[in-house]
This record gives sequence, C-alpha cells and structure tokens, in this order.
Amino acid sequence: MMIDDEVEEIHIPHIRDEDDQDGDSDRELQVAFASGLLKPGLFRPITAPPPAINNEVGLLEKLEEISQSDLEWVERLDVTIKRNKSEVTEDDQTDVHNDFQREVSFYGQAQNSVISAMLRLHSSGINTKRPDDYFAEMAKKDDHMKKVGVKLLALKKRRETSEKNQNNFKLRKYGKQVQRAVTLERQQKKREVLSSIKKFKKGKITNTDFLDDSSKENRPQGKKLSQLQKLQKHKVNHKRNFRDKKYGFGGKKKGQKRNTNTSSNDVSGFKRKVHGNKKNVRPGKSKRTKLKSKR
Amino acid sequence: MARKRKAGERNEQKSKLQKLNSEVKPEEQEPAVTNELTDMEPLTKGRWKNKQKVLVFTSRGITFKGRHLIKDLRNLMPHTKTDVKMDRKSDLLMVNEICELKNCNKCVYLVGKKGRDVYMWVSNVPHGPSALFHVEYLNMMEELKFTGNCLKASRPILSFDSKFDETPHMKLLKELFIQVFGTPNYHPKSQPFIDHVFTFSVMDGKIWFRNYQIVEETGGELVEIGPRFTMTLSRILSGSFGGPVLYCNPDYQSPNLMRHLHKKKNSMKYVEHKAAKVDKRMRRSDKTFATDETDQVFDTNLTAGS
Repeated sequence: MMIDDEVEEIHIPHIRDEDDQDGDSDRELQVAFASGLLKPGLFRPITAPPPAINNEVGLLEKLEEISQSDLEWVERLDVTIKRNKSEVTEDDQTDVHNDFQREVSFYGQAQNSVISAMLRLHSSGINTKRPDDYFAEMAKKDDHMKKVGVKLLALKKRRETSEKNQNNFKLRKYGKQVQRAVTLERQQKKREVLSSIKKFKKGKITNTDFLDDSSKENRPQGKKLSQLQKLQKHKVNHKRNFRDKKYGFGGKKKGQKRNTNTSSNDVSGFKRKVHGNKKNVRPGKSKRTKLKSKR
Repeated sequence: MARKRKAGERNEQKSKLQKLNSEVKPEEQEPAVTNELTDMEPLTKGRWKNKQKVLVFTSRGITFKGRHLIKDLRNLMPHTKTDVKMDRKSDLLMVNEICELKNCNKCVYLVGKKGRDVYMWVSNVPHGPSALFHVEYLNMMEELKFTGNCLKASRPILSFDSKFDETPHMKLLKELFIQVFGTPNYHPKSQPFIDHVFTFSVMDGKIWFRNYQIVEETGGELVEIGPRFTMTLSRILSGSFGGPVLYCNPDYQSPNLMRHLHKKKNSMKYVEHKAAKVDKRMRRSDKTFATDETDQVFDTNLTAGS
C-alpha cells in the first residue's frame, strides 16, 4: 500500500514524557510499528491531546480511604467558605490579572473563615490567643522584622511628603486664582470710574457720587476678597505698628523738632508740683549782703 | 586454712552488704532532686492523636525560589522533616522508600525542571493518592512586602474555597491538603496558639495559596505573612507516586507548551506586519484620479496642441 502524493494521517499514541517534546522519539515509533500502526510510506502524526480522565468513583473511593472521620474538628482546623464575589467589582467576575481585586477576594475568604473558626474554637472553650508574657521563636526573626519596619516607615514618609507637596500645589493654585480675580476687579472699577469722569466732564452726569462709591467699592469685596483680607489681616506686624505710632511714618523729616509759635506757647506740660514753688530758695545778692552787714 | 578463708569471706560479704545498705538508706530517705524533670510527663502524651509526619524535600536542579519555598514550609510547619536533594534521574518510587526510612506518612516533593519550572508532588505515602502540580507565581516569606509575623510552630487554620466541595477530585485534594498542611493538635513541637491562617482558593483553574497573620480575632483583621504560590493541577494518581491515573486535568498546559505558544504568538507579529505591508501595496491603485477617457474626445485644444 504505497501512497506517493497523499499523506496518510495516523494517530500515534502519546507515550513520551511531556518535557522532551523536541525531536522524534525512536521508542515511540518502535511501539507504533510493533502495534501494526506504521506501514511503509509517508506519515504525519496527529498530536491528539491526552484523553481527559476523570474517574469519579475511584476518586470518591480514595477519599473514603484517607478520610479521618474519627478525628474531631479541633485536630484538623479546616474551614470551607464560599468566597465572596468581590466587593470592589460589582459584577460577579473578579479579574485574575487585577492584583488588587484578586488579593481582596482572597483576604475576604481568609477573614470570614477566621471569624467562623474563632467562634467555634471559643465556644468549645479553647484559648487561642498568646499571652503577652509568653515568648517564643517567631517565623520571622527580629532583624528581618526590623527591616520590614524600616521599609514601612520609609513608605509612610514618602506618602506624607507627596501629600504635603500636593496640598501646597493646590494652595498655590488657589492663591493665584484669587490674585487674578482681584486685579481684574480693580481694573474693572478703574475703567468704570474713568468712564464716569469722562461723562461728568461732558456734562452727561451732574452728581459726583461715583467718586464716593468708587472709594467705597475700591475696598475689596466679595467672598474671595474678604478671604484675601483675612489673609492680610492675619499678618499684622504689631511691632511695626507701634513704632509707626511712636515715631511717625512717612512725611518730611527735616525741622520736625524745631520750636514754633504754638509749641513755645504750649504750657500743657507745666506741672506745679514739679516746676512750681521750690523749697530752699536762696535769697538774692542784695538781701544776702544786708543780712551780712546786720551781723 | 580453708575454713578460715571461708569464714573471712563470709565476714567480708556481710560487711559489704552492710556497707551497701548503709549507702542506700540515706538516698531513700531524701527525695531525689535530680529526677524531677524526667518524672514529669510530656504535656502532649496521650493527647497527640493525629500523627501526621510530612517529608518536605526537593529534587536536584531546583530553582532558588523552590528552595526558599521549602525553607518557608519547613519554617511554618513543625511536623515536617526533610532530606537531602534527590537525584532527578532516579525512580520516583524511591521517594516512597525515603519516606519510610524517615518515618513519614505524607510527602511534599518539589521537582525542578529545565532550571526554571517547579513541580510539586503532594502524596499520602504508603497507599496514595498523590497529586502533581505545576507551581507558579512564587513569593517568599523573606520578601519585605509581607509585613506579618507569626509564631514558628503555632497551628494554622486551613481555609478552603467552596469550590473544593464541588467535584470529587477537588474534595480529594482538600482532604490531602488538610492532612499535609495542618499541624496536628498537641504535636510535641507545636505551640498551643492559633495565630495564622492558610488560605486555599480556586481561581482561573489554579489553586492559590496565601498565609495571613491573625491580628485581631473577633474582627478578623489580617496581615499577610507569605509565602505565596499557585498550583495548577496536572493529574491525580491513585498510588503514591505511581499507579493508575484517577484524574487528568484537561485544561492543564505544560510550561513548555505555554512558552511555545507564547513564542509563536510573538513570532506572528513580524509576519503579520510584513503581510500587511504587502497587502497595502497591492491595494494601492496606479491612477491618482478616476477619470473617464471619453471626456477628452471633444477637446479641440488637445488635438491642436498635438
């Protein structure tokens, strides 16, 4: 049975180890030849998937064989719990490739099983908690836990600094916005006043109320301005204010300490107690000579 | 002479007995202080019922991650023993003999292949069953991202997904895991506290292992301790490291096949790109505008010019 052009497809049983898939295995061919599957000609093996085996009866028998039905639950401590559909995603599917969703679902399962197992243990009067004065070897050594602590601290610090920077950035943005609003408003006011002055000059308006209004309105108004004012108020330099009051602020400095007509006539600083009658009044020269001659 | 000697011997014997008696008597009167510790019975005696001993070891040629996994498992499970690495070429049934020598009735045997793949055998030793897994996504307890900690020899709670109760093969695996990973109550090396939980979940056709510390019992606040790994079931055998196959996972892909498919997928990228280029060139027409030739029939200028 020779086939020249056509290639016959034939199934060669899959017996080799799954790991050496490269190259032909002589043994495989030998087995196939011995079983009468191979005949002279060109062949292409169909690599069929290994048959799915699911011997349910055998599995259950084995389970029966190894089960520890004579042992109490405390000896085994197993909990079977339905894993909650993730709370993060509202649909039933947790994405396996989304690390966060996956870990949250595992965590939930562990949490539920811990709660139920602890209830069961405590109700049967078994203490599970380690007393504070019980010291024993831990799974992770102290120096390892120190490393973990250092890493956690560094993480915390990094998070804090980034948060602070973000906050500062927001504040700066807000300040700039307020400033822009203030300048815009000022320009607007100025324009209005100027236009009304023009109108007044031309005689379109007779009253000059706009000047007072503008002086009133020039004060910062509105929510944003009041906040700015608050900021400005907050930074009052009391020392400066006091010194300004004491020594004066601005203006001409020359000749300020000279006497004038009003200042020389001002006797408000005179106090009788201080400047008035003096106790030991020395008599005048003539009186003193007369007294001497009388002696 | 002879009489005398005998008499003398008698006397000597008497005196020896007297001496012995006199030596023994004071000891009997005083309680022996040195015996106090040996007299005390171990706390676990008579209470340790679930006698599981697990042999945890690897083959030669395991990756560093597999080696660390063994280290972590040994660290967390006080009921384990270990042995030297086994030669990969020797028969798998040798493992049974090693277990017998080591007096173990369960076995976790990690096999390293090609210097990168890690397989795990979990077996109930003399009579089976045994299961072969492909282990992936290994994360060690030593990694600093796991911030939890627990006692070295405390007993874990074993938490299973409800999918472990759905099919016979999963039920069998659950039973096997309970017996292998659970530390027996009153095991001499164990401690009587429960401060961590082993979690086995099924997702995406794999079994995911997690280990959490129990920070608060009532609220169930947990912190992960590690290690982490996934196990993809390949097959379940009825014997220990042998015997007929009870279950063969139809969705299992060997790591070789996975790598092959991945490579193939990537290789097609270049070919497809080239094909697309050729295709585009073929589709491009030579004409810039769709013109009708009959439009120029009555054009007098053209004829005059030519």
